[in-house]
Amino acid sequence: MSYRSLMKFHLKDYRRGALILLSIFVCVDTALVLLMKFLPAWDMGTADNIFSINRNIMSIFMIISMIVTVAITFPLMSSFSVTRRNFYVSSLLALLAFCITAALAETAVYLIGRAVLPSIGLPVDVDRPILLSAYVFMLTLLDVSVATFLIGACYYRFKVITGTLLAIVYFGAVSLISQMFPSMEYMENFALFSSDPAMLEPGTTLLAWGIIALCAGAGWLIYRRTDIRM
Amino acid sequence: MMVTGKKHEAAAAPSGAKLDLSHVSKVFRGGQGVHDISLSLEPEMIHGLIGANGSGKSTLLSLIAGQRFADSGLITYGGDHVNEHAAALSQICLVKTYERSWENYSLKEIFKFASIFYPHWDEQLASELMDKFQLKGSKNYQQLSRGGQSMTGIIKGLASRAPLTLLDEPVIGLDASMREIFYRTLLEDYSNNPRTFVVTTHLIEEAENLFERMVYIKRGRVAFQGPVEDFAANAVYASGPATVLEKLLGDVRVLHSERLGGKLLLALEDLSGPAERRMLQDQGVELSPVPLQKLFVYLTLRDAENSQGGGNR
Repeated sequence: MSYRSLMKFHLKDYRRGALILLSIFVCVDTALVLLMKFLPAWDMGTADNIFSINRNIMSIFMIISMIVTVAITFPLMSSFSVTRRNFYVSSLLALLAFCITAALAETAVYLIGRAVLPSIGLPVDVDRPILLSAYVFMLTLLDVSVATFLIGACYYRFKVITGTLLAIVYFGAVSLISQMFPSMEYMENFALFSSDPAMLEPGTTLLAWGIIALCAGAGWLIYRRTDIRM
Repeated sequence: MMVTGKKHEAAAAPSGAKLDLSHVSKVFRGGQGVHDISLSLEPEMIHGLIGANGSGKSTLLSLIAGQRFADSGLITYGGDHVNEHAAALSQICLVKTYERSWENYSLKEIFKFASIFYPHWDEQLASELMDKFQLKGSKNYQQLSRGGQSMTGIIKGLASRAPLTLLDEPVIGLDASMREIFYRTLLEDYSNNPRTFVVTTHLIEEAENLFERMVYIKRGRVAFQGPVEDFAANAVYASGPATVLEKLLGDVRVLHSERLGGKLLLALEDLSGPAERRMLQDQGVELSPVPLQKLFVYLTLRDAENSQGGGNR
Protein backbone atom coordinates (compact mmCIF):
# COMPACT_ATOMS: atom_id res chain seq x y z
CA MET A 1 0.00 0.00 0.00
CA SER A 2 1.53 3.27 -1.10
CA TYR A 3 1.56 6.51 0.84
CA ARG A 4 -0.10 8.07 -2.17
CA SER A 5 -3.14 5.84 -1.58
CA LEU A 6 -3.14 6.66 2.11
CA MET A 7 -2.95 10.41 1.47
CA LYS A 8 -5.68 10.08 -1.15
CA PHE A 9 -7.87 8.52 1.52
CA HIS A 10 -7.13 11.33 4.01
CA LEU A 11 -7.84 13.96 1.37
CA LYS A 12 -11.26 12.44 0.74
CA ASP A 13 -11.90 12.00 4.44
CA TYR A 14 -10.85 15.56 5.39
CA ARG A 15 -12.77 17.16 2.55
CA ARG A 16 -16.16 17.19 4.26
CA GLY A 17 -14.71 18.56 7.51
CA ALA A 18 -12.75 21.24 5.68
CA LEU A 19 -15.89 22.38 3.85
CA ILE A 20 -17.78 22.60 7.15
CA LEU A 21 -14.92 24.64 8.64
CA LEU A 22 -14.88 26.99 5.65
CA SER A 23 -18.66 27.50 5.92
CA ILE A 24 -18.32 28.33 9.64
CA PHE A 25 -15.57 30.82 8.81
CA VAL A 26 -17.64 32.61 6.20
CA CYS A 27 -20.74 32.76 8.45
CA VAL A 28 -18.91 33.89 11.61
CA ASP A 29 -16.71 36.48 9.88
CA THR A 30 -19.60 37.93 7.90
CA ALA A 31 -21.66 38.14 11.09
CA LEU A 32 -18.74 39.86 12.86
CA VAL A 33 -18.29 42.47 10.17
CA LEU A 34 -22.05 43.15 10.05
CA LEU A 35 -22.21 43.49 13.84
CA MET A 36 -19.33 45.96 13.81
CA LYS A 37 -20.91 47.92 10.99
CA PHE A 38 -24.36 48.21 12.54
CA LEU A 39 -23.39 48.20 16.25
CA PRO A 40 -20.63 50.84 16.42
CA ALA A 41 -20.54 50.61 20.24
CA TRP A 42 -19.25 47.09 19.91
CA ASP A 43 -15.53 47.83 19.63
CA MET A 44 -13.23 44.85 19.09
CA GLY A 45 -10.01 46.84 18.71
CA THR A 46 -7.35 45.62 16.30
CA ALA A 47 -7.89 43.52 13.19
CA ASP A 48 -6.02 40.73 14.89
CA ASN A 49 -8.44 40.77 17.80
CA ILE A 50 -11.39 40.87 15.43
CA PHE A 51 -10.30 37.77 13.59
CA SER A 52 -8.81 35.93 16.57
CA ILE A 53 -12.10 34.08 16.74
CA ASN A 54 -11.03 32.25 13.57
CA ARG A 55 -8.09 30.76 15.43
CA ASN A 56 -10.34 29.57 18.21
CA ILE A 57 -12.72 28.04 15.68
CA MET A 58 -9.80 26.26 13.97
CA SER A 59 -8.34 25.01 17.22
CA ILE A 60 -11.70 23.64 18.35
CA PHE A 61 -12.17 22.11 14.90
CA MET A 62 -8.79 20.40 15.16
CA ILE A 63 -9.62 19.02 18.61
CA ILE A 64 -12.90 17.58 17.30
CA SER A 65 -11.17 16.35 14.17
CA MET A 66 -8.55 14.47 16.19
CA ILE A 67 -11.18 12.90 18.43
CA VAL A 68 -12.92 11.73 15.25
CA THR A 69 -9.59 10.43 13.91
CA VAL A 70 -9.10 8.31 17.01
CA ALA A 71 -12.66 7.08 17.36
CA ILE A 72 -13.65 6.68 13.70
CA THR A 73 -10.74 7.01 11.24
CA PHE A 74 -8.58 4.46 13.08
CA PRO A 75 -11.19 1.65 13.00
CA LEU A 76 -12.31 2.81 9.54
CA MET A 77 -8.85 2.41 8.04
CA SER A 78 -8.38 -0.86 9.91
CA SER A 79 -11.63 -2.12 8.39
CA PHE A 80 -9.85 -1.77 5.03
CA SER A 81 -6.85 -3.76 6.23
CA VAL A 82 -4.55 -0.76 6.84
CA THR A 83 -1.80 -1.38 9.39
CA ARG A 84 -1.52 0.74 12.53
CA ARG A 85 1.82 2.10 11.34
CA ASN A 86 0.37 3.24 8.00
CA PHE A 87 -2.62 4.75 9.76
CA TYR A 88 -0.46 6.61 12.25
CA VAL A 89 2.21 7.95 9.92
CA SER A 90 -0.26 8.97 7.22
CA SER A 91 -2.54 10.63 9.80
CA LEU A 92 0.39 12.69 11.12
CA LEU A 93 1.39 13.71 7.59
CA ALA A 94 -2.20 14.65 6.75
CA LEU A 95 -2.40 16.54 10.03
CA LEU A 96 0.75 18.51 9.26
CA ALA A 97 -0.56 19.35 5.78
CA PHE A 98 -3.91 20.39 7.22
CA CYS A 99 -2.33 22.60 9.91
CA ILE A 100 -0.18 24.39 7.33
CA THR A 101 -3.19 24.88 5.05
CA ALA A 102 -5.36 26.04 7.96
CA ALA A 103 -2.73 28.57 9.12
CA LEU A 104 -2.40 29.92 5.56
CA ALA A 105 -6.20 30.08 5.20
CA GLU A 106 -6.48 31.93 8.50
CA THR A 107 -3.84 34.39 7.33
CA ALA A 108 -5.66 34.87 4.02
CA VAL A 109 -8.93 35.55 5.85
CA TYR A 110 -7.09 38.03 8.09
CA LEU A 111 -5.57 39.82 5.07
CA ILE A 112 -8.93 40.01 3.30
CA GLY A 113 -10.55 41.31 6.50
CA ARG A 114 -7.82 43.90 6.98
CA ALA A 115 -8.37 45.13 3.44
CA VAL A 116 -12.15 45.09 3.64
CA LEU A 117 -12.72 46.69 7.06
CA PRO A 118 -11.35 50.19 6.30
CA SER A 119 -13.30 50.29 3.02
CA ILE A 120 -16.56 49.97 4.95
CA GLY A 121 -15.52 52.58 7.47
CA LEU A 122 -14.13 50.33 10.21
CA PRO A 123 -10.62 51.35 11.27
CA VAL A 124 -7.87 48.78 11.82
CA ASP A 125 -5.37 49.74 14.53
CA VAL A 126 -2.47 47.33 14.67
CA ASP A 127 -1.15 44.67 12.33
CA ARG A 128 0.78 41.50 12.98
CA PRO A 129 3.89 40.01 11.39
CA ILE A 130 2.11 37.85 8.84
CA LEU A 131 4.48 34.93 8.21
CA LEU A 132 5.73 34.61 11.76
CA SER A 133 2.20 34.72 13.07
CA ALA A 134 1.09 32.05 10.57
CA TYR A 135 4.05 29.86 11.57
CA VAL A 136 3.30 30.16 15.29
CA PHE A 137 -0.38 29.51 14.68
CA MET A 138 0.44 26.42 12.61
CA LEU A 139 2.61 25.22 15.46
CA THR A 140 -0.14 25.85 17.99
CA LEU A 141 -2.63 23.89 15.90
CA LEU A 142 -0.16 21.04 15.46
CA ASP A 143 0.58 20.94 19.16
CA VAL A 144 -3.09 20.93 20.15
CA SER A 145 -3.89 18.29 17.52
CA VAL A 146 -1.05 15.91 18.35
CA ALA A 147 -1.82 16.22 22.07
CA THR A 148 -5.51 15.49 21.40
CA PHE A 149 -4.45 12.55 19.22
CA LEU A 150 -2.38 11.18 22.10
CA ILE A 151 -5.03 11.77 24.77
CA GLY A 152 -7.70 10.29 22.47
CA ALA A 153 -5.52 7.22 21.89
CA CYS A 154 -5.28 6.74 25.66
CA TYR A 155 -9.06 6.95 25.96
CA TYR A 156 -9.43 4.45 23.10
CA ARG A 157 -6.93 1.95 24.42
CA PHE A 158 -7.01 2.36 28.21
CA LYS A 159 -10.57 3.71 28.66
CA VAL A 160 -11.76 6.76 30.61
CA ILE A 161 -9.63 6.91 33.76
CA THR A 162 -6.20 6.74 32.09
CA GLY A 163 -7.35 9.08 29.32
CA THR A 164 -8.57 11.63 31.84
CA LEU A 165 -5.37 11.37 33.86
CA LEU A 166 -3.29 11.99 30.75
CA ALA A 167 -5.44 15.00 29.80
CA ILE A 168 -4.86 16.46 33.29
CA VAL A 169 -1.11 15.83 33.01
CA TYR A 170 -1.00 17.46 29.56
CA PHE A 171 -2.89 20.61 30.51
CA GLY A 172 -0.91 20.85 33.76
CA ALA A 173 2.35 20.61 31.81
CA VAL A 174 1.23 23.23 29.27
CA SER A 175 0.26 25.59 32.09
CA LEU A 176 3.61 25.05 33.83
CA ILE A 177 5.56 25.59 30.59
CA SER A 178 3.63 28.81 29.91
CA GLN A 179 4.59 30.10 33.35
CA MET A 180 8.22 29.09 32.99
CA PHE A 181 8.54 30.36 29.42
CA PRO A 182 6.21 33.30 28.77
CA SER A 183 7.00 33.08 25.07
CA MET A 184 5.19 29.73 25.04
CA GLU A 185 1.95 31.21 26.30
CA TYR A 186 0.34 30.77 22.90
CA MET A 187 0.26 27.03 23.61
CA GLU A 188 -2.18 27.63 26.44
CA ASN A 189 -4.27 30.21 24.68
CA PHE A 190 -4.86 29.29 21.03
CA ALA A 191 -5.95 32.77 19.91
CA LEU A 192 -3.32 34.69 21.85
CA PHE A 193 -1.41 37.32 19.98
CA SER A 194 1.14 39.63 21.44
CA SER A 195 2.51 42.65 19.66
CA ASP A 196 5.77 42.08 21.50
CA PRO A 197 8.04 40.66 18.76
CA ALA A 198 9.99 38.68 21.37
CA MET A 199 6.87 36.63 22.01
CA LEU A 200 6.91 35.33 18.47
CA GLU A 201 10.58 34.64 17.83
CA PRO A 202 10.94 31.43 15.87
CA GLY A 203 13.66 30.19 18.23
CA THR A 204 11.23 30.08 21.16
CA THR A 205 9.12 27.60 19.23
CA LEU A 206 11.78 24.90 19.48
CA LEU A 207 10.31 23.73 22.75
CA ALA A 208 6.91 23.44 21.06
CA TRP A 209 8.46 21.24 18.34
CA GLY A 210 9.96 19.14 21.13
CA ILE A 211 6.58 18.70 22.79
CA ILE A 212 4.98 17.82 19.44
CA ALA A 213 7.68 15.21 18.77
CA LEU A 214 7.26 13.79 22.27
CA CYS A 215 3.47 13.53 21.91
CA ALA A 216 3.81 11.97 18.44
CA GLY A 217 6.32 9.39 19.74
CA ALA A 218 4.17 8.56 22.76
CA GLY A 219 1.12 8.28 20.49
CA TRP A 220 2.83 5.66 18.36
CA LEU A 221 3.80 3.65 21.44
CA ILE A 222 0.11 3.51 22.34
CA TYR A 223 -1.26 2.80 18.86
CA ARG A 224 1.19 0.10 17.90
CA ARG A 225 -0.46 -2.42 20.25
CA THR A 226 -4.04 -1.16 20.25
CA ASP A 227 -6.81 -3.63 19.47
CA ILE A 228 -9.62 -2.44 17.23
CA ARG A 229 -12.87 -2.34 19.18
CA MET A 230 -15.45 -4.70 17.72
CA MET B 1 -17.47 -12.27 -15.80
CA MET B 2 -15.94 -9.43 -17.77
CA VAL B 3 -13.22 -7.55 -16.02
CA THR B 4 -10.93 -5.19 -17.77
CA GLY B 5 -7.38 -3.86 -17.69
CA LYS B 6 -5.82 -3.44 -14.31
CA LYS B 7 -8.70 -5.11 -12.51
CA HIS B 8 -8.25 -8.24 -14.61
CA GLU B 9 -4.57 -8.43 -13.69
CA ALA B 10 -5.43 -7.88 -10.06
CA ALA B 11 -7.98 -10.67 -10.03
CA ALA B 12 -5.37 -13.05 -11.36
CA ALA B 13 -3.01 -12.35 -8.45
CA PRO B 14 -1.73 -15.45 -6.65
CA SER B 15 -4.12 -16.60 -3.96
CA GLY B 16 -2.58 -19.88 -2.92
CA ALA B 17 -1.09 -18.70 0.36
CA LYS B 18 -1.78 -20.76 3.44
CA LEU B 19 -3.04 -19.42 6.74
CA ASP B 20 -1.45 -20.93 9.83
CA LEU B 21 -2.32 -20.40 13.44
CA SER B 22 -0.04 -21.84 16.07
CA HIS B 23 -1.10 -21.98 19.74
CA VAL B 24 -3.04 -18.73 19.48
CA SER B 25 -4.74 -17.44 22.61
CA LYS B 26 -6.69 -14.29 23.30
CA VAL B 27 -8.54 -14.27 26.57
CA PHE B 28 -10.84 -11.49 27.76
CA ARG B 29 -12.00 -10.72 31.26
CA GLY B 30 -14.44 -13.43 32.23
CA GLY B 31 -12.47 -16.10 30.40
CA GLN B 32 -14.11 -15.73 26.97
CA GLY B 33 -11.98 -15.61 23.85
CA VAL B 34 -9.89 -18.24 22.14
CA HIS B 35 -7.56 -20.67 23.85
CA ASP B 36 -4.49 -22.31 22.37
CA ILE B 37 -5.84 -22.60 18.83
CA SER B 38 -3.71 -24.30 16.22
CA LEU B 39 -5.16 -24.38 12.74
CA SER B 40 -4.04 -24.61 9.17
CA LEU B 41 -6.46 -23.41 6.51
CA GLU B 42 -5.90 -24.81 3.05
CA PRO B 43 -5.85 -22.18 0.31
CA GLU B 44 -8.52 -21.77 -2.37
CA MET B 45 -11.28 -23.39 -0.37
CA ILE B 46 -14.42 -22.23 1.36
CA HIS B 47 -14.08 -22.95 5.06
CA GLY B 48 -17.06 -22.89 7.38
CA LEU B 49 -16.40 -21.66 10.90
CA ILE B 50 -19.18 -22.66 13.23
CA GLY B 51 -19.78 -22.46 16.94
CA ALA B 52 -22.29 -21.19 19.47
CA ASN B 53 -22.66 -17.50 20.28
CA GLY B 54 -19.67 -16.36 22.31
CA SER B 55 -17.59 -19.37 21.31
CA GLY B 56 -14.83 -17.14 19.91
CA LYS B 57 -15.49 -17.13 16.14
CA SER B 58 -15.45 -13.34 15.72
CA THR B 59 -12.43 -13.02 17.99
CA LEU B 60 -10.61 -15.58 15.88
CA LEU B 61 -11.43 -13.72 12.66
CA SER B 62 -10.30 -10.39 14.11
CA LEU B 63 -7.01 -12.00 15.16
CA ILE B 64 -6.49 -13.42 11.67
CA ALA B 65 -7.20 -9.98 10.16
CA GLY B 66 -4.68 -8.36 12.51
CA GLN B 67 -7.33 -6.22 14.17
CA ARG B 68 -6.53 -7.67 17.55
CA PHE B 69 -3.29 -8.88 19.05
CA ALA B 70 -3.09 -12.42 20.38
CA ASP B 71 -1.93 -12.82 23.98
CA SER B 72 0.27 -15.65 22.75
CA GLY B 73 0.85 -17.71 19.64
CA LEU B 74 1.60 -16.95 16.05
CA ILE B 75 -0.57 -16.22 13.01
CA THR B 76 1.01 -16.25 9.56
CA TYR B 77 -0.43 -15.83 6.09
CA GLY B 78 1.80 -17.02 3.29
CA GLY B 79 4.62 -17.22 5.82
CA ASP B 80 4.28 -13.57 6.94
CA HIS B 81 3.03 -12.49 10.35
CA VAL B 82 -0.36 -10.86 9.90
CA ASN B 83 0.15 -8.21 12.57
CA GLU B 84 1.44 -4.95 11.13
CA HIS B 85 2.56 -6.57 7.90
CA ALA B 86 1.10 -4.32 5.22
CA ALA B 87 1.70 -6.74 2.34
CA ALA B 88 0.05 -9.66 4.17
CA LEU B 89 -2.84 -7.55 5.45
CA SER B 90 -3.66 -6.11 2.03
CA GLN B 91 -4.40 -9.71 0.96
CA ILE B 92 -6.87 -10.20 3.83
CA CYS B 93 -10.36 -8.73 3.93
CA LEU B 94 -12.45 -9.04 7.08
CA VAL B 95 -16.17 -8.36 6.85
CA LYS B 96 -17.67 -7.87 10.30
CA THR B 97 -21.33 -8.24 11.14
CA TYR B 98 -21.49 -4.49 11.74
CA GLU B 99 -18.95 -1.72 11.08
CA ARG B 100 -19.51 1.12 13.54
CA SER B 101 -16.86 3.26 11.83
CA TRP B 102 -18.89 3.24 8.58
CA GLU B 103 -21.96 4.83 10.17
CA ASN B 104 -21.41 8.36 8.87
CA TYR B 105 -20.37 7.41 5.36
CA SER B 106 -22.41 6.77 2.24
CA LEU B 107 -22.01 3.47 0.39
CA LYS B 108 -20.35 5.35 -2.44
CA GLU B 109 -17.70 6.66 -0.03
CA ILE B 110 -17.23 3.27 1.63
CA PHE B 111 -16.62 1.53 -1.70
CA LYS B 112 -14.38 4.38 -2.84
CA PHE B 113 -12.23 3.82 0.26
CA ALA B 114 -12.22 0.08 -0.42
CA SER B 115 -11.04 0.72 -3.98
CA ILE B 116 -8.13 2.78 -2.62
CA PHE B 117 -6.97 0.12 -0.20
CA TYR B 118 -7.63 -3.25 -1.84
CA PRO B 119 -5.23 -3.87 -4.72
CA HIS B 120 -7.57 -6.37 -6.43
CA TRP B 121 -10.77 -4.34 -5.98
CA ASP B 122 -13.30 -5.08 -8.72
CA GLU B 123 -15.38 -1.96 -9.36
CA GLN B 124 -17.59 -3.72 -11.87
CA LEU B 125 -18.50 -6.52 -9.47
CA ALA B 126 -19.26 -3.97 -6.74
CA SER B 127 -21.65 -2.09 -8.97
CA GLU B 128 -23.29 -5.33 -10.21
CA LEU B 129 -23.85 -6.44 -6.63
CA MET B 130 -25.27 -3.07 -5.67
CA ASP B 131 -27.82 -3.49 -8.44
CA LYS B 132 -28.59 -7.08 -7.40
CA PHE B 133 -29.07 -6.07 -3.78
CA GLN B 134 -30.93 -2.88 -4.80
CA LEU B 135 -28.62 -0.61 -2.83
CA LYS B 136 -28.20 3.08 -3.56
CA GLY B 137 -24.73 4.59 -3.35
CA SER B 138 -26.05 7.82 -1.86
CA LYS B 139 -27.49 6.07 1.22
CA ASN B 140 -25.63 6.24 4.49
CA TYR B 141 -24.60 2.94 6.06
CA GLN B 142 -26.45 3.89 9.23
CA GLN B 143 -29.69 4.48 7.32
CA LEU B 144 -29.71 0.96 5.92
CA SER B 145 -31.72 -1.92 7.35
CA ARG B 146 -29.82 -4.72 9.08
CA GLY B 147 -29.96 -6.68 5.83
CA GLY B 148 -28.69 -3.69 3.85
CA GLN B 149 -25.71 -3.39 6.18
CA SER B 150 -24.96 -7.08 5.67
CA MET B 151 -25.18 -6.60 1.90
CA THR B 152 -22.70 -3.72 2.11
CA GLY B 153 -20.27 -5.97 3.94
CA ILE B 154 -20.80 -8.75 1.39
CA ILE B 155 -20.04 -6.35 -1.49
CA LYS B 156 -16.86 -5.21 0.23
CA GLY B 157 -15.83 -8.84 0.84
CA LEU B 158 -16.51 -10.12 -2.66
CA ALA B 159 -15.38 -7.07 -4.67
CA SER B 160 -12.17 -6.78 -2.64
CA ARG B 161 -11.10 -10.03 -4.37
CA ALA B 162 -8.80 -10.47 -1.39
CA PRO B 163 -7.03 -13.83 -1.56
CA LEU B 164 -8.21 -14.45 2.01
CA THR B 165 -11.73 -13.18 2.68
CA LEU B 166 -13.23 -13.55 6.13
CA LEU B 167 -17.02 -13.19 6.31
CA ASP B 168 -18.43 -12.98 9.82
CA GLU B 169 -22.13 -13.88 9.75
CA PRO B 170 -22.63 -12.37 6.28
CA VAL B 171 -26.31 -13.27 5.96
CA ILE B 172 -27.62 -11.69 9.18
CA GLY B 173 -30.83 -9.81 8.40
CA LEU B 174 -31.02 -10.98 4.79
CA ASP B 175 -34.32 -12.42 3.58
CA ALA B 176 -34.38 -15.82 1.89
CA SER B 177 -34.11 -14.46 -1.66
CA MET B 178 -31.18 -12.19 -0.82
CA ARG B 179 -29.41 -15.06 0.95
CA GLU B 180 -29.86 -17.13 -2.18
CA ILE B 181 -28.36 -14.33 -4.29
CA PHE B 182 -25.42 -14.18 -1.89
CA TYR B 183 -24.77 -17.95 -1.97
CA ARG B 184 -24.99 -18.03 -5.77
CA THR B 185 -22.76 -14.99 -6.24
CA LEU B 186 -20.20 -16.32 -3.80
CA LEU B 187 -20.01 -19.67 -5.60
CA GLU B 188 -19.91 -18.06 -9.04
CA ASP B 189 -17.20 -15.59 -8.06
CA TYR B 190 -15.26 -18.29 -6.24
CA SER B 191 -15.28 -20.56 -9.29
CA ASN B 192 -14.17 -17.68 -11.55
CA ASN B 193 -11.55 -16.39 -9.12
CA PRO B 194 -10.59 -19.16 -6.71
CA ARG B 195 -9.47 -17.84 -3.34
CA THR B 196 -9.85 -18.66 0.33
CA PHE B 197 -13.03 -17.83 2.17
CA VAL B 198 -13.75 -18.32 5.85
CA VAL B 199 -17.45 -17.94 6.55
CA THR B 200 -19.16 -18.03 9.93
CA THR B 201 -22.87 -18.69 10.07
CA HIS B 202 -25.63 -20.11 12.21
CA LEU B 203 -27.68 -21.09 9.15
CA ILE B 204 -25.67 -24.22 8.57
CA GLU B 205 -28.36 -26.06 6.63
CA GLU B 206 -28.29 -23.36 3.94
CA ALA B 207 -24.55 -22.94 3.88
CA GLU B 208 -23.35 -26.53 4.20
CA ASN B 209 -23.23 -26.98 0.44
CA LEU B 210 -20.85 -24.03 0.22
CA PHE B 211 -18.36 -25.34 2.70
CA GLU B 212 -15.60 -27.66 1.66
CA ARG B 213 -14.01 -27.82 5.09
CA MET B 214 -15.30 -26.92 8.47
CA VAL B 215 -13.94 -25.76 11.80
CA TYR B 216 -16.12 -26.17 14.86
CA ILE B 217 -15.20 -23.92 17.77
CA LYS B 218 -16.36 -24.92 21.20
CA ARG B 219 -15.74 -22.52 24.07
CA GLY B 220 -12.74 -20.95 22.37
CA ARG B 221 -11.12 -24.22 21.32
CA VAL B 222 -11.12 -26.15 18.07
CA ALA B 223 -13.38 -29.16 18.61
CA PHE B 224 -13.37 -30.29 14.97
CA GLN B 225 -11.46 -29.43 11.85
CA GLY B 226 -11.81 -31.30 8.59
CA PRO B 227 -14.03 -32.05 5.60
CA VAL B 228 -17.68 -31.14 6.14
CA GLU B 229 -18.87 -34.68 5.51
CA ASP B 230 -16.68 -35.97 8.35
CA PHE B 231 -18.28 -33.64 10.89
CA ALA B 232 -21.56 -35.51 10.95
CA ALA B 233 -20.28 -38.82 9.59
CA ASN B 234 -20.63 -40.75 12.82
CA ALA B 235 -23.69 -39.00 14.21
CA VAL B 236 -26.94 -40.95 13.87
CA TYR B 237 -30.58 -40.83 14.79
CA ALA B 238 -31.58 -44.11 16.44
CA SER B 239 -35.33 -44.66 16.43
CA GLY B 240 -36.91 -47.78 17.87
CA PRO B 241 -38.53 -49.53 20.84
CA ALA B 242 -38.10 -47.54 24.04
CA THR B 243 -37.20 -50.74 25.91
CA VAL B 244 -34.09 -51.16 23.75
CA LEU B 245 -32.96 -47.55 23.54
CA GLU B 246 -33.61 -46.61 27.20
CA LYS B 247 -30.39 -48.44 28.08
CA LEU B 248 -28.50 -45.81 26.10
CA LEU B 249 -30.11 -42.78 27.77
CA GLY B 250 -27.29 -42.27 30.26
CA ASP B 251 -24.63 -42.55 27.56
CA VAL B 252 -22.42 -39.46 27.08
CA ARG B 253 -22.91 -39.74 23.32
CA VAL B 254 -26.64 -38.99 23.55
CA LEU B 255 -27.23 -35.44 22.35
CA HIS B 256 -31.01 -35.46 22.24
CA SER B 257 -33.93 -37.73 23.09
CA GLU B 258 -37.61 -37.69 22.21
CA ARG B 259 -40.42 -40.08 23.21
CA LEU B 260 -43.04 -40.91 20.62
CA GLY B 261 -45.51 -43.25 22.38
CA GLY B 262 -43.71 -46.54 22.89
CA LYS B 263 -40.85 -45.45 20.70
CA LEU B 264 -37.76 -43.49 21.54
CA LEU B 265 -35.70 -41.29 19.23
CA LEU B 266 -32.10 -40.68 20.19
CA ALA B 267 -29.52 -38.46 18.49
CA LEU B 268 -26.12 -40.04 19.09
CA GLU B 269 -22.94 -38.07 18.50
CA ASP B 270 -20.90 -41.12 17.55
CA LEU B 271 -22.13 -44.52 16.58
CA SER B 272 -19.30 -45.62 14.38
CA GLY B 273 -18.76 -49.12 15.71
CA PRO B 274 -20.20 -51.61 13.16
CA ALA B 275 -20.91 -54.22 15.83
CA GLU B 276 -22.94 -51.81 17.93
CA ARG B 277 -24.86 -50.59 14.88
CA ARG B 278 -25.67 -54.16 13.87
CA MET B 279 -26.76 -55.07 17.38
CA LEU B 280 -29.19 -52.15 17.52
CA GLN B 281 -30.52 -52.80 14.04
CA ASP B 282 -31.09 -56.46 14.97
CA GLN B 283 -33.29 -55.26 17.87
CA GLY B 284 -35.51 -53.24 15.51
CA VAL B 285 -33.76 -49.88 15.82
CA GLU B 286 -33.66 -47.75 12.69
CA LEU B 287 -30.52 -45.69 12.09
CA SER B 288 -30.47 -42.54 9.96
CA PRO B 289 -28.01 -39.64 9.50
CA VAL B 290 -28.36 -36.47 11.56
CA PRO B 291 -28.53 -33.30 9.41
CA LEU B 292 -25.62 -30.95 9.99
CA GLN B 293 -27.79 -28.12 11.30
CA LYS B 294 -29.51 -30.44 13.80
CA LEU B 295 -26.19 -31.84 14.96
CA PHE B 296 -24.86 -28.33 15.48
CA VAL B 297 -27.97 -27.37 17.48
CA TYR B 298 -27.67 -30.46 19.70
CA LEU B 299 -23.95 -29.88 20.27
CA THR B 300 -24.56 -26.22 21.09
CA LEU B 301 -27.38 -27.02 23.49
CA ARG B 302 -25.26 -29.65 25.20
CA ASP B 303 -22.37 -27.20 25.54
CA ALA B 304 -24.72 -24.62 27.03
CA GLU B 305 -26.11 -27.16 29.52
CA ASN B 306 -22.59 -28.24 30.45
CA SER B 307 -21.51 -24.63 30.96
CA GLN B 308 -24.45 -24.02 33.27
CA GLY B 309 -23.99 -27.28 35.12
CA GLY B 310 -20.20 -27.05 35.16
CA GLY B 311 -19.92 -30.24 33.13
CA ASN B 312 -17.14 -30.93 30.69
CA ARG B 313 -18.42 -33.33 28.11
